[in-house]
Amino acid sequence: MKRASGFVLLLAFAVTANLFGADSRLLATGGLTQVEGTAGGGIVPWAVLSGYATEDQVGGTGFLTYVNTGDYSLWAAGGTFTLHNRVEFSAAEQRLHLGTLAEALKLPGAELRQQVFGVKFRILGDAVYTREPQIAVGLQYKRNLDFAIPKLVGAKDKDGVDVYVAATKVFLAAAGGHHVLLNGTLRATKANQMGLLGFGTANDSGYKLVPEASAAILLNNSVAMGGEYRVKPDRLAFSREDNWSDFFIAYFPNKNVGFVMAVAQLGTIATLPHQSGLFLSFQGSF
Amino acid sequence: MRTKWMILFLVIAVSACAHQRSLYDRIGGTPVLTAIVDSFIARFADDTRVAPTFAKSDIPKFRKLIIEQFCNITGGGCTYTGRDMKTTHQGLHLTETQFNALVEDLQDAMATQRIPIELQNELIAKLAPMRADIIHQ
Ligand code: HEM
Repeated sequence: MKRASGFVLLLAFAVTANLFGADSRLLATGGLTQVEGTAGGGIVPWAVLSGYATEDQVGGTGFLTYVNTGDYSLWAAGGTFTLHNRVEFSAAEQRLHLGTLAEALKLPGAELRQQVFGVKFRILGDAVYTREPQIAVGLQYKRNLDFAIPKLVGAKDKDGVDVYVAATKVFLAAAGGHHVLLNGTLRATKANQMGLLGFGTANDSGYKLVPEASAAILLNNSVAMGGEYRVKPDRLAFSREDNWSDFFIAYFPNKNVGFVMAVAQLGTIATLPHQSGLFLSFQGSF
Repeated sequence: MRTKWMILFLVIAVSACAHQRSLYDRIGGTPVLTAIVDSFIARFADDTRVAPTFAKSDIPKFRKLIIEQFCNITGGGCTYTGRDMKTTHQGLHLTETQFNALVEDLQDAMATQRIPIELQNELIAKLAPMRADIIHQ
């Protein structure tokens, strides 16, 4: 509950900060907030920075995401702060409830938590207005808070840093008069299942390069629809780790709020196959 | 999974070659462009992010030139008799914020005139490349 109140505080901050008038980028160009807490789709970081601040403004977001696959459920919450559409700072916490697996392990109520602290720099370009795509590089420092289980299944470290470069371009009126967004991201990571199962293994703790991609179409000025794909490393011996994908629909009634509904396909997670389910997300922007 | 991506790709590919008539004709020609520009001017006159820049401008002249320009870039065959974008906006030191504000005012104006979203987007797409000549001059 302490965390929930932190989130409410963040939202209150978001609403107050709106008084600064950082509302000048076009609707939907702040993206959504991906599950590790930075501006992106549902699971892929994009090169855009969160919120609607332009070069002479500051902005940010607060977000809350819930994913349920039947066997597992994941909560993620956090916030971002963007300075002058140049650098974005983010912090998020993820909680994976082990559900079915916890019962099998005779650890009812067990969960895996991790914190993610991110920073993302826009290197060049503007996703909407320049001929070249918007390009950004980012870091995500991840700290697993429940390392006992990851250690048991073979993970080496309880924290790690992901490094990524992302390119995002909006093609105006490209599909029957609708704007189309394409994003490609390349990530170097040691994480097992994003870090929820720790980082590396005893005999394989180097970085692995994994590509990620998103495509979306803006049906009008407030509804976007799209899909994403995220390649994942697969290092732990006790269970395979699959690539992730999702199909989402996002609704931005105005620049202050956004809602996302998605179907996420997460494959095998910690021995349980065919994990797919509903992904719901809310974000407040300023 | 793969078929969904294929469908998305096909939608993009097919729609890219579906244009027969000019945007000017599809929007409804000069009468509709004039109505858009009038709504547009009414909007930015009330927009504190934009209005001060126009304080000393000759609005009737601006109105005539912007209608000409919209007609020209949408394929209506008008000759644009104004200055180029770089010269026009020289010394105004326009910001990204002001540019975005004006685009929003134009979107609102087009929505007021019930222009379908696809045509709104096409007009925005024709104006977007001018941004580099307009801001920070
Ligand atoms: C795509 C965006 C824009 C287009 C297509 C555009 C187009 C034009 C045109 C055609 C003219 C008349 C040219 C002439 O006088 O010879 C003009 C003048 C002007 N524009 Fe823009 N403009 C854009 C963005 C902006 C923005 C963002 C601002 C400020 C917020 C702005 C402020 C002005 C002013 C103040 C004038 C009048 C200058 C004068 O009085 O001499 N424009 N613009």
